[in-house]
Amino acid sequence: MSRELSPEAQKEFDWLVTRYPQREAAMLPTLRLIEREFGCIDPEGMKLCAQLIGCSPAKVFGVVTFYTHYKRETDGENVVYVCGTLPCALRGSDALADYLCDRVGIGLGETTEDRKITIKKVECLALCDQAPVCQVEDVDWLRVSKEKADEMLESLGIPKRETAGAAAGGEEKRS
Amino acid sequence: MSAPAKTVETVKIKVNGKELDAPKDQPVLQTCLDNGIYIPHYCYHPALSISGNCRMCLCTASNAPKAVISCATFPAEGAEYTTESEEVKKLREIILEFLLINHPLDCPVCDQAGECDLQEFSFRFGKDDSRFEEEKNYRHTKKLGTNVRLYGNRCIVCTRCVRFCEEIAGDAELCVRERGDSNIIDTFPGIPLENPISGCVADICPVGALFVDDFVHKTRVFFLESTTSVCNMCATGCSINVDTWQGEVQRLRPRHNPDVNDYWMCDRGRVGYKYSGAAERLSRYEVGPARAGSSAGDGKAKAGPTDPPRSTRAPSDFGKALAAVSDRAERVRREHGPGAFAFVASAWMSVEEMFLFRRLATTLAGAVPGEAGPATGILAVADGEAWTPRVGGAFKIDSDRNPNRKGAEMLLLGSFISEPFSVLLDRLESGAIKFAWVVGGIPDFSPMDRFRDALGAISNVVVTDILPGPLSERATILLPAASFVEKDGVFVNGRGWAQRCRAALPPPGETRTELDLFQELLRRAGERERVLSAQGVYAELAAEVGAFADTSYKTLGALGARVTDDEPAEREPTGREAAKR
Ligand code: SF4
Ligand code: FES
Repeated sequence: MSRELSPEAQKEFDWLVTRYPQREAAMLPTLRLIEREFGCIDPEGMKLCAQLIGCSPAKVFGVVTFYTHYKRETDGENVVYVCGTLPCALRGSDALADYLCDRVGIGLGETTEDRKITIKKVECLALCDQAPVCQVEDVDWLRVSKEKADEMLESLGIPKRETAGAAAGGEEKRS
Repeated sequence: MSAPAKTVETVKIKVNGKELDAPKDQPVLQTCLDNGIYIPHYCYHPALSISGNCRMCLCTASNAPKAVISCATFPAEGAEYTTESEEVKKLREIILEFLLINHPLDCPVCDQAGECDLQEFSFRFGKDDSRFEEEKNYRHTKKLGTNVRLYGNRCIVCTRCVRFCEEIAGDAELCVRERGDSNIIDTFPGIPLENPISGCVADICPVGALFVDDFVHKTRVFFLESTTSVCNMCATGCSINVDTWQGEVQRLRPRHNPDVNDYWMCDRGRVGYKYSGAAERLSRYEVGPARAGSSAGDGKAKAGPTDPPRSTRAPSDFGKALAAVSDRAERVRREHGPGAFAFVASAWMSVEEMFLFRRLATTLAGAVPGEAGPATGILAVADGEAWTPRVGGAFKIDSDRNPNRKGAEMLLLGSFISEPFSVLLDRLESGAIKFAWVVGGIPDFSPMDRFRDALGAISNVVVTDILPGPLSERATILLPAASFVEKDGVFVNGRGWAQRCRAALPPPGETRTELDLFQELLRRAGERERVLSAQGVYAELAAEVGAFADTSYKTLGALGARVTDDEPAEREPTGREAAKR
């Protein structure tokens, strides 16, 4: 029942490992490949990676959980990453996270019942000069105010509140 | 794959003003430790790769602008390192304050308390307060495998355990999960920590995060009394410490011995003391009547599990039991000659015991030129599975599950035991044997049916053993024996390395050691003047048996010495050495 890569993905993997001096060094791109192939990295995916790379599943487990950007099976369709590292924390990421959770109606690290949205606090997103920062899939949201948070949620299908004023700042959305 | 002959290249360095010759490929930390300059450290372990994550070993160097971690700093010619200064002191305080941020400070209920490097370094190098006022985080407490328990809150994420599983044991079952202050040791879901030496992670964990399940909430380590000894569970004979409290063994721990087990021991050996504390241990001398007319020398002995039940033996004492042994042996010798005796030794005896047993056999049976001598043989447990770690220096789990087969080969084979076991069996069954002495001392021993049944039909069966079982059931005279935690003696491992086993506890009840027993019998027979300690007997043995010549308890010391002339096995690389290739 063990999982396998599709022939094309296998070909890609075979090419990937040639690009690194050691097989283990190809672990990160291999994980990306698996994520793309299977939609997320679940334990079976980690085992597959371990098998491909030739290391123990525990080692892959450690790597996957170290990085915030690998999608875990427990995540919803869209994951809102809220940076919680120092610069963002100083610029109110705690309150921001609370606000987001409140609006979506879930706790931090939780997923909505329809499995559409997960909100996670993560370590540094490397945009400290634009704090506080959020990331939804591949889109960075910078200097996130309440208004911008609403806009971000709207992009995920959560309508703005009546009372909330219109927000601008689309140009600060980066892809 | 042999290592190139090693000439240690050194450079001159100064540590705290003192000049040292520092091996080039050895971290400054190790050089300092080797020279009696203590630098506190957590993640560094001499058998593991260098990780440099705990920062406890910081010192200052003349060739670096900032403090350096001495575990990952290799000596530079002429450099000066400082491990004792206001600056270093301050750094250590800061590191410790950080390491303790999320630590629960639950020392009163922690089994590590008393031998914990966190406690130790806090006491010696730490601050007396912490500026951390926030809430501490919580990390899981769970069993990582059958034998090992993790208290995540106490972990300082030094990764010694992770590196051990990958580099030494080889299966890499552990990992550090998550990031930042959520870091936690874990296994992959569904793949627990189950390698045969998993317990070693508890030994190398510098704090109270990992324990062997057997030792959780058992006793306070500061009450333990430690005795250096040898594990008895296989022919590797790992150097160990036997830790006791209130007359009971509380745990066994491996002791560093580069020629035997490096820093490790297996999980099976680690609990290999259990039987010594069993409630059913034999501890009383018992003498019963000789079995009457059992086989009268006509054809095959017929007997089986229907032997005289234990109750036909009456409680006795050391002196009376010995007198009974002498008397019966005397009678058999007079009536039937030396050929009516059988002596069966065990591969679990110490060399001293074997040496004395051999003499005792000649004394009891006598010798008549031209006539057959006593039947002889040796008991041993069957082989188990061998296991070799990925890298473990000299350590391996031997398939030979007897602690002293090599010693038996050196002391008994040829000189004393000249016939194969099948001949012994034939003679035992022939009905000609009237007096058999069987030394057991092997836990969970199940002798082959033929042997067991033959014993049941012999008139006089003396059994020396530690636990009741098929042997003791068939004894007409039962002599309780000491287990390996209760006796002094030398064991020779499979590679010919002789080590001292030392008594950590007295034997149970009235039991006297076999060493005393054999000597006392010899003394009564006029064959020796005094009953000596194991050391004394060893000296006699060394004077008589070539391979042991020039060795003594003193020269064996705590780590032992090679006593065979076989080609010495090539020394296997230890962890760090192997990593370098
Ligand atoms: S459990 Fe112990 S050995 Fe493992 S990382 Fe934590 S402190 Fe280090
Ligand atoms: S011992 Fe040097 S950093 Fe841990």
